Amino acid sequence: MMPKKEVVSTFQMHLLLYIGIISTGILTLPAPLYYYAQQNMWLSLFIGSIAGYVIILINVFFYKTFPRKNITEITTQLLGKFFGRLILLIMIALLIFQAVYTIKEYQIYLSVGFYQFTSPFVIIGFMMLVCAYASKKGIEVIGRSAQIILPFMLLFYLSVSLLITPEVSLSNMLPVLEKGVMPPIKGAILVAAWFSEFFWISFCLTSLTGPPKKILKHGFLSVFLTTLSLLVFFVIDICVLGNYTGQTLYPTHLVERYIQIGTFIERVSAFFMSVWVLGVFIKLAFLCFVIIQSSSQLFHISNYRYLIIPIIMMIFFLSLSLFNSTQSLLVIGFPLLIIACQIGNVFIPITLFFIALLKVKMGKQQL
Amino acid sequence: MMNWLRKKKEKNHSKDKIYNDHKKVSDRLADSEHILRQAYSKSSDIVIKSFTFGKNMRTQALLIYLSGTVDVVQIDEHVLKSLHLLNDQENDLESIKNALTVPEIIEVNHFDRIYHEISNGHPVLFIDHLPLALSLGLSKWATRQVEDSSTETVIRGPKEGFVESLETNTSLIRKRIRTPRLKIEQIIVGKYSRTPVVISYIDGLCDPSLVEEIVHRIKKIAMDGIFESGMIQEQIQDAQWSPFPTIFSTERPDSFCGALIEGRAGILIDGSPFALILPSTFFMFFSSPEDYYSGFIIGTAIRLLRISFLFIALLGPSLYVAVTTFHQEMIPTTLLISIAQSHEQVPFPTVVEAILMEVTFEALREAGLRLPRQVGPAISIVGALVIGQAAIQASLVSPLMVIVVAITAIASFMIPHYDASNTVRLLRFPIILLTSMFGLLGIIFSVIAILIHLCSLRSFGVPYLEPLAPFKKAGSIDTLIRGPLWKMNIRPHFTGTLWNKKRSGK
Amino acid sequence: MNLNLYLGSRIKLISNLLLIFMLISSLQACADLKEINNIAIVTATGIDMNNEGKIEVTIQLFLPQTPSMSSQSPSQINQFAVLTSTGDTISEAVNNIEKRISRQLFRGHDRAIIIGEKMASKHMNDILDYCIRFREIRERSYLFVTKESAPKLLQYEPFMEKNSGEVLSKYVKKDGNLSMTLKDTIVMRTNPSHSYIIPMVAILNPTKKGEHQILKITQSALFSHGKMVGTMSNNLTYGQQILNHKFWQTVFSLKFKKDPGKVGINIQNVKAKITPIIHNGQWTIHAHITGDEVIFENTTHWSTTNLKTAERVEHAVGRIVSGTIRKSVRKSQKVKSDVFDFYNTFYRKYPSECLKVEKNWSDVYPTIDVKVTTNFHLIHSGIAQ
Repeated sequence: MMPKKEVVSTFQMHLLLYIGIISTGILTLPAPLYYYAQQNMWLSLFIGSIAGYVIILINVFFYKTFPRKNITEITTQLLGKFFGRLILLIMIALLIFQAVYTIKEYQIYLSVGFYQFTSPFVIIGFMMLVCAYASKKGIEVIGRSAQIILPFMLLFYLSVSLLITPEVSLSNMLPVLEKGVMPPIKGAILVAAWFSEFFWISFCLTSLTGPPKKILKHGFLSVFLTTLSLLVFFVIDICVLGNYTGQTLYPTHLVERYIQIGTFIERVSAFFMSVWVLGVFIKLAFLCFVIIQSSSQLFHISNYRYLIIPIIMMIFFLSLSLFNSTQSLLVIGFPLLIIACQIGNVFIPITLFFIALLKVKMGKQQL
Repeated sequence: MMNWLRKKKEKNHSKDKIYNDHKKVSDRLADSEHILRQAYSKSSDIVIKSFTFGKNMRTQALLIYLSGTVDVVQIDEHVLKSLHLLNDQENDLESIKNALTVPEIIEVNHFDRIYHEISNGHPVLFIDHLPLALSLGLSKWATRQVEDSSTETVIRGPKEGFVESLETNTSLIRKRIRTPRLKIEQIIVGKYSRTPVVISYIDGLCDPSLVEEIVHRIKKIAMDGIFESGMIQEQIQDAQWSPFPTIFSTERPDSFCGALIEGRAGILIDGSPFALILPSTFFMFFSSPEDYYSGFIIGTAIRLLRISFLFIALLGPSLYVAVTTFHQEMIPTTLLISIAQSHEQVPFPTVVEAILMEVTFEALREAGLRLPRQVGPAISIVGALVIGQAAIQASLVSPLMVIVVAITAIASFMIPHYDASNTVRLLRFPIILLTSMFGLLGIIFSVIAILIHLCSLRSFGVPYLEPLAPFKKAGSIDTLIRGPLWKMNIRPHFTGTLWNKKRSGK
Repeated sequence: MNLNLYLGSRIKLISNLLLIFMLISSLQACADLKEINNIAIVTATGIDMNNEGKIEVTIQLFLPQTPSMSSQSPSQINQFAVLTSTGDTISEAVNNIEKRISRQLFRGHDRAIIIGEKMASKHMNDILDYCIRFREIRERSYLFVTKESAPKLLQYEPFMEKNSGEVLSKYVKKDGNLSMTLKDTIVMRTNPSHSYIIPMVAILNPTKKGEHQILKITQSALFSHGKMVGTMSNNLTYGQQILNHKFWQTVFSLKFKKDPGKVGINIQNVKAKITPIIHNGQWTIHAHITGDEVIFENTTHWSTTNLKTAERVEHAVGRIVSGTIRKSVRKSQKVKSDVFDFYNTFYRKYPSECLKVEKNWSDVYPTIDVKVTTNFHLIHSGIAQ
């Protein structure tokens, strides 16, 4: 019996990305962004989010022009068998790198902040275990989990940002653009890397239901909400920590540690960590699913579930062996991540888009 | 070895032979009597009464029934007396049937069917020269009175509960849904028990494919006997390896009828007061019928309280373990100091303490359930001593642990559905173990695993967490909250194409 | 197709292996478990330098003793212990303490960090770096400087709270006292002259018989470039607090020329509007202070209901406040410690000018002129007329 086709609504799909992007975005993005743009990092956020809108448009274009096809099939159709597969291989490799980086981000945050002595083997292992379980159950289940997690996450983040307001001094946001527009634009490149993750949707176009208009609507809405959510935390970080934002690894972690209401709501950081882990789980489960599904399409394996264990094991051992210190993750890993995101999620898609557009214009492409 | 097997097979076969299950009733009364006497040999409760009637008393007849299952007075009144009044010429089937003043007469002609009728308490009448028997609906079983449901109690709401008799139960449903659209289909299950199982639904609201699927699954059950709806539930539910119940069982006719009106189907079995409702979703297990009777503001408040205590029931002891052994910075200083002071004399690590207390509590609960009612209070006194004052004074556990266990116990009793509360109790233990190794991270990974599992569950094709994930706006006001009744005007859509969307007002 | 079959047959085996794998890994997992019986809860830390130039760390530990049911009440038991050790670095000294005790130190509840004057005047950066780097120490820990020895302060047995750490953490939250948490300090330190202000505490001996020893904030220490460069009296600290928007309320007493009596006045709800101006190379701060006053006490012969009195009082308060602010700025300018955060105030309005002088801000800071205007308002005078 063939398994029933799994479908997710456009809302669930964009929810996955929203949760994934803000989870890692609020924790690891502010510090490097502050280095480039200082208190103007909110401007970088807005400039960077343009990448998100562009990628949503590309997603919609692919969905509309190639109905019932994933980016894997579209690529081979556009570039031919050999080049298409080559490009796909590169894209999947870059996705694996993004997954490894996210896992390391998660593991190093936990090791530095909470579990000093627990071996990374266990911390990563457990995450990989639940990701494998989620990938086995499929995109539908991941989408539903995201729907359940969302209200808890939003409620918690909202209360964190409300509880810290007594410490906020808005004057830290000034001056605006004292060093010209270049610093925020430099910062926008980092932000765009985060927003480029919306391209992962293209790997699951066949699981989507609904008209292209709905993808456009939900996509733009989710990009906007992502911008807004990140903005809240960036502003809070700057307003509480001022110039110190750039000198600590996790400014948001520090801010959330500083919450104190009376003598009973204080030191909520372990709860913050738990909720954050929930978000990272959604991101990783989706990313692992995308990698596994696209590899199975690349290698023509009928059931993607056969690839779960080999690929999860590969990511597991890669993340155990790469970037074993905060320094290497920040100095080597972070720039590589930006490059990987910009190539895999921005450059290649845009190129594919133009090739497809050309072929459509020349009438070679059957719609 | 093979010989021995073959022999056994034959032996079994020959044993079945004397019951003549598939034989038809012959027109010779003596043959039928022989078969019946053979079949019901060594049964002291069988009554086989042969008599003659008609003019000259020439027509021979045989009445067979199980004593204690039939209404003897009515047999005398409506069968024996009526037949005696018949004329000689009128001994054909039609006139006999007319003569019998019994409302329910069924013609049966196979012996397996006859056995079934006899077991159901229907006296069976054989008449010479007729190649069939008549089953008379004159059964009279000893049944319990309809009384208050003992497992799902409410303050406000009907006090009637299902009983063991299927007829009474269906009448309770008919009493509430007064339309011929209410269908009650019967299937016989169990090789020896021959239990009547009834599928009940409302035509036009319930998707026909759902009913088909239920019938299909029930027919697949191969068991010798079915005595409780739980035995059916276990065999027809989708995820048989899941600790979560995916079929809702209820003892209350009002919950049952409420579910039918929503377009669900119900299963009742003879001999069990527990009816099954399907498809059933997660939030059904955490709502009580009283939520709908006490106004939506109160209903919502109570539901929110219940859901928040669900988390405590599941995670309470684990949170305590996580916070006191991994994340001590989270506890306010003065509380930490008093915990440290009280824990100084305790010989066990916190996790051992927690598991010890939880297991003791579960044992006490189980003991209290199984004890005869008269000894029940003894257990509560012993329990209060064991997990209360004495354990603290002996420094076996810290006082705070006792408080945590007590709150967890209260929280687990707040879950309205017994099956669901058992699941929560069971899941608590692996979470405690995982937490003792990883702190809050252990809790989070357990929660994630449970979440993935819940999201992947389906009950007869319907996602288990339905109105929330996948999100359905219309249904979502009856999940964590209980919206006003006038807002619940869209019937939930389960599977298939039939969806009677609007709940009509008039 | 072959590959599919191969993988299909192996999938059970692999998943079983994975499970065993995970079980084994979980056995070595409890590494971060801190049983509550195995931690020593630190309630306050003292950091000082001894005469040989070594760093001396003192910690105040909570002693968990079960109050026995029958005998003496728990208040009579000494509930804390103080331990001291030395080392070349702070972490080494802490490690030396940890080596001497049976339990693991737990500093998640460390509320006060007391720094000896000797240490403060030389190695303040070491302390801040250590504290902010170590994950257990909270950013809400309060910092103090003392002229006395840190162990003595930690050994002080208060008459109202359990230990001196708790006294200090509650004391600084009260009105009028300067409170600097670790986070406040490191955020303030980011200005170009790396200056910040930390309250100084001392134990005051009783002046009369029957009184208790008390722990009190006596003055404030001014820091610049990681060194303690001067002190400021409590009264002048009000000026710093007002300009940093951290002032809550306090009581002043007013004397008048025309009358022998005095007025006790409470000022509250003080707000400061600070405008930086650079004009012809002269850097000026215009501070406009507004606030409310309440008369607590009046021994003059003027009636408090008289509008003229209100005017007199408002005027006098304005004089006192502006005087305090001016004196306090002058005091800090003398030691070149920008505890008013003037750099950032200017930077927000004149970024390019500020960037030019960022390197030699310590030289520019003393030249800044401060102009104070006040507008205080008498809101009521108690329930008497």
